[in-house]
Amino acid sequence: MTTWMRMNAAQENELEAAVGRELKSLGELPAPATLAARVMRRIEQRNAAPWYRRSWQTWPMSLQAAAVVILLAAFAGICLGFGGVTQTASATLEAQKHSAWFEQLGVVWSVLNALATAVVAMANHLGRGVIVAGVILILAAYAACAGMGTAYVRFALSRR
Amino acid sequence: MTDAQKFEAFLHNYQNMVFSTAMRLTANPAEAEDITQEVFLRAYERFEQLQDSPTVGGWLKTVATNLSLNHLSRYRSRWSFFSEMFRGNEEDDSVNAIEFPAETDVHEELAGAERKELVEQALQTLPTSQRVPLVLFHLEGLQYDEIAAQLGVSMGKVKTDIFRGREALRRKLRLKLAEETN
Repeated sequence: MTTWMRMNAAQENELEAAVGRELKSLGELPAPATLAARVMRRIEQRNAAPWYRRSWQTWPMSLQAAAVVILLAAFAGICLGFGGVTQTASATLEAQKHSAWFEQLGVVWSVLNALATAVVAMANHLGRGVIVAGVILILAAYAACAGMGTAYVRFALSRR
Repeated sequence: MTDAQKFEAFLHNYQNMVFSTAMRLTANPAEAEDITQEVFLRAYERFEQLQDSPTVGGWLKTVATNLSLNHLSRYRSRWSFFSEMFRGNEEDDSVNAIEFPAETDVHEELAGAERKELVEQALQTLPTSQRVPLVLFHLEGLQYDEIAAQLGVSMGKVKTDIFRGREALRRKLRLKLAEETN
């Protein structure tokens, strides 16, 4: 037999204490017997992997330092190189005279330069309003895709 | 003792605690095992700092709790979990209406181990939206506002869900309150 009634504050407090006692008395659940072996196997697999396939945090200190130096040097090189090339096109032409490798680089550079010039010319021709409208259109299309994907997932899950 | 042996001993010491935390939040043994594994893989990366730390238990519990909540919100019941959360506020009028149990007090009849198993089963059959805040409140020791912040819901919602969870447990376990007899 069951009856229905409203709970007062004292009963709520008592229920809180009673449920708290029950839950705290539970103690720990035993972990599956295979868990420790599984974790140790994963750790062994990670340790067996070469250093360059592990996360950067686990690299030896000397390699971490070397990686930072190389990345900084590469970044500085790109910045300086890009700045130098754009400021003095003659530097590229000079390099082309000295070696075939620089010749190829010069070709690539001139193609990229032509493309960039075309993009800038097109942007100037179209005007800022058209470019902003294009960006908004792309963002709206992205939002629509995300929205439809979300709606589809909700619909699919609700049918289970 | 090698580092690997030290870590294995550490793993054996804490695996039940971490697994229990994940299991009570997810109510799924396979998912709890995956989460426990991930917790220990993270612990391994910081083992030098963790092994002598007095707060290692708290660190493991926090990571297990966060990974379990991430898992619940991202994967298994992404939509049902949150839809239950938002539906909860609609029934405020009936929130205090409780069904009192029959005369028999199962609590008294069952032996310790059997009773614990019953409580564990009752907890795991609660809906996620009730079980998670209930576990965070009673077992992880979080306050209502901390639970609300963790779950990204209002404090009123947390209180309602915890109340309903307690009520559901009381019905399942047929707990009797002293007030009830007055």
